[in-house]
Amino acid sequence: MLDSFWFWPFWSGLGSAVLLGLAGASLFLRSASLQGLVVSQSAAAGGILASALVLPVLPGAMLLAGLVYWHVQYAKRLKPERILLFFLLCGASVNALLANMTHLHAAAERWLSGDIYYISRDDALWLLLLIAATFALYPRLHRVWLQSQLAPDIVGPRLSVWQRMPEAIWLLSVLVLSSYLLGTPAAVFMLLLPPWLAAYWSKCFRSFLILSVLICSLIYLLAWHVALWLDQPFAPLLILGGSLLGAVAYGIRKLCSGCRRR
Amino acid sequence: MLLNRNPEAGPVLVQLNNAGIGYPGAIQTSLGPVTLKIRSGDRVALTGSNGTGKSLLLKTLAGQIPLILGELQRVARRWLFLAQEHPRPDLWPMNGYDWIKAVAGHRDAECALSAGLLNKRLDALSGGQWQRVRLSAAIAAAPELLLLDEPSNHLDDAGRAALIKQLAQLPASTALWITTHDAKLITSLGLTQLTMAQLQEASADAG
Repeated sequence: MLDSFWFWPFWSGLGSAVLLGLAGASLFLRSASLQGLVVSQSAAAGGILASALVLPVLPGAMLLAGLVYWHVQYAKRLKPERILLFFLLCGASVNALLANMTHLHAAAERWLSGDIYYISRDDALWLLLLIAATFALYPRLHRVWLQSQLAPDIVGPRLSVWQRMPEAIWLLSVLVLSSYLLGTPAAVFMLLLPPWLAAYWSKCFRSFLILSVLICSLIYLLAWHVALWLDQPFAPLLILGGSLLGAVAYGIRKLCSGCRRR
Repeated sequence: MLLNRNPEAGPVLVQLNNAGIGYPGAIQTSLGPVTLKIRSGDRVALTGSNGTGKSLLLKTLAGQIPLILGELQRVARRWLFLAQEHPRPDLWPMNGYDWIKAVAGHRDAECALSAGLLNKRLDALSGGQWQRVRLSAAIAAAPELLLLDEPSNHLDDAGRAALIKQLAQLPASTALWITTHDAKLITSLGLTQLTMAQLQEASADAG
């Protein structure tokens, strides 16, 4: 499986899963998973729009996703209902573009369904850069995530916008690149489910981060193998398999807590 | 305005000059103009009826609420404000050690307030236990200025005794301003009592 054809897709997917585990955990802690969802969706809209305008795809996706992220996170701090409006707006824009520009279907396929098996070495290099940045920035990311839990208590001086900026850019990059590599539905799923499961099972912040990353990686590995084995599309299998795994884990937890009560 | 027992005890940490204080979006100021200096080593208990602006003043001093009028000068390099209530999410995968690291920036050992609590998840603690962890983290942070809004809320007698013991051990240079209705806390710690009415009068004189 790890011959030359599969090498970049496999490791890029795994790298994305690890980063999504961390990003999802940080969003979960801030009760901001919806923001992750809308940023991923806007990345897809930006990427497809960039294709329509014959512009570089990833910068286009970063630009639109960045604007949306800045708006929902910093400019207005929107309530969930309004964040979902942005989600719908981005989805409607994509549909309108596809209805009128049929040649965009191939570009849209990548964002909407995920073309993991066709990840190229150039795509993977962006991810490698992001992984290196994650290692370099990790102490700062960790600090921002912990500090985000303090309100309404205040430890002054608080982190300034500039001190929080690297984390915001890191999060944006993870969301955009993962949506590009795995497809938006798979990326969003990895943002939502694994941290939620990990929050039930972990004992502290560190184990929460580790468990979130491990669950993401496990779901990815299952989906990769099963999709290849059954010759099925990757993203739908990831979501179905992950949901099944989540349901089983939730059932086991309920069962264990029921036994403990008895 | 000199409301602390020993006004020249230490350098000024925070100063309000003719400050009009109110919640954002309010049509008029709720409090003020207020003029006061908080000095290093101050030990003050703000008292007064509900709704007189005690918490509002602490939030303003902490920088959570911007001034409507006047100016706030902050010289303190590290300050800490503990809100009256800190709601917890239903699922919160953090324990007491994580909380202390978030507040104090380092992993601190257990103290009388937090004994037996730091290994537990924060969402599994009772209201009183959670308050004890928050207070122990605030003290472990060793700020120059400690602003506590009704710190004895939710605490039982043992918790209150542990709080008094811990606060009594604060470094002499730490300025402590608390809002409270707890007379025992004020007397045990020997705090200078300052009512909101006195604060307004003294501010008017200073103005």
